[in-house]
Amino acid sequence: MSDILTPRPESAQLNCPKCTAYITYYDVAGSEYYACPNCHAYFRYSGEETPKVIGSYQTPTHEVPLIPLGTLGMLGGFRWRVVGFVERYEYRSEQYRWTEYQLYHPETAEYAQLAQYRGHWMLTRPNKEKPAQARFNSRSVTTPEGTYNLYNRYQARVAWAVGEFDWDIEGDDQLKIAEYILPPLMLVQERASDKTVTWYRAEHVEPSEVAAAFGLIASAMPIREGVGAVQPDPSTTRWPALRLLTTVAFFVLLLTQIGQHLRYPDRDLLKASLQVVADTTAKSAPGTGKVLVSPSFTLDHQAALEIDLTTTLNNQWLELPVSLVNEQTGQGFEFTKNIEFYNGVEGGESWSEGSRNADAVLSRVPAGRYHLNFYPFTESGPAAPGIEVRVTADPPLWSNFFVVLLLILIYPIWQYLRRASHETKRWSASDYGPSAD
Amino acid sequence: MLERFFISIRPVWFYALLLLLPLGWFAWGATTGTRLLGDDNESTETLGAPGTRGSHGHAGRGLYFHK
Repeated sequence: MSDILTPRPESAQLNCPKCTAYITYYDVAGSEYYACPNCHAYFRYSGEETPKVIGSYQTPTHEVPLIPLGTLGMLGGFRWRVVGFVERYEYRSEQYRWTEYQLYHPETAEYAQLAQYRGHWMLTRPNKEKPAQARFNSRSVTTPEGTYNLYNRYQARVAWAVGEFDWDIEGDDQLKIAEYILPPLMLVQERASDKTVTWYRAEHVEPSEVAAAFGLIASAMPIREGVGAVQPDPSTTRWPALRLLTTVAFFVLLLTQIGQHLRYPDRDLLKASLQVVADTTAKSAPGTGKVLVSPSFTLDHQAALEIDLTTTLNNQWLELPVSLVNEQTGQGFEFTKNIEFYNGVEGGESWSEGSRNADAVLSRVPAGRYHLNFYPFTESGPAAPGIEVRVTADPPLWSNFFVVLLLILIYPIWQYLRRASHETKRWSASDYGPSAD
Repeated sequence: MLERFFISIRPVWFYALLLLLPLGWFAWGATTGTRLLGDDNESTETLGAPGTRGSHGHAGRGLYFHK
């Protein structure tokens, strides 16, 4: 005798035992519990006996089904039909409400739940394998995919339902549920009163995917609030690449800095001691010093020059305009340094203010023979100060290194803070976050 | 190895291109001897050649303040 496959009927109809309205149902062989879309009676019908009314949903629903019952859609690579809709809430915290669409896969007669909470969607299916290291009260569950962390523990109640179900949804009241997350995945543990444990695996679904799958208008989708329990950080996929690129850019920067320093090590072109001498000619204002001219020095290639000035100031100030003069072209570079240094003893404690030193950097000074001219102006009275001058070619210019390093780090730092903020928002809705005891 | 690197950074290829700007700016500063944040030159005569964007406040004689 050969096996003859009887085609499974795509749908069937029954009458609501309370209002006699026609109800179309799709899992003809499996569905046993029904919630009437007309009178909201909840009844059992196994196909043989007379339908038996169990109860009726009177509570006004907060959310009506967005996806009409009977709608077909491709989601997660499977063709699903929406056959049921349940609005649930946490038993001890009724403000936490979510909706679940019962999805039926006609070809395999498998089920999945499409859950929606504050605009965040998850597709939940039975987990075929029990996680190896899972105990009921554990704070985490380790699987080959990684470690799932406890996110929520609760008992649920049904607020409202419509459609067909292959199990008694009211019986779920007794279940103790624990949710463990490893975004974008979630493991859901359901523990029945007889200590039977069932595992489900949920995965984040973007609202746009849901809309595309069931032909919904994107603007009609619930607005997302906060960060979903398993909503992936949008930058997660980019983060490893960004970290690698930033590390490489840092070493390129560092090697360029070191390479430039090895190619043109900083070298002293001039070291000289000069003494300010008061200009006593009648035309000069009191405090004016005679022009000081440094010895000449040669720069063999275009470079930055650093000019360090160390004075012997003591309780006085010095205004010091300086000119760097190219002796061949007459080209001049100028800068002015105002230096002051005061010190003393007051109330038995010594104090000092200002500094005896100053420095200046001149960029892109062409090759050539140069000398420095100083035009000192200081307060008359105290002894005229001395000036030690040192000219260095090719100073390391670490400010360039740090400015560019900062530019390189701005985007990665912003991304890092964004990731941190995303995780903080995610766990703010949980009692079991990293900051919880 | 280089090919693997380019494959690895594919998710941020646009940022990789953008990074060439600061790195190029740095290389230009290093080869020309330029302090990128500006130097201390105040001379209007050499405005075209070296960087003349003074990074320090410059006080003339008339503005000089002291105790």
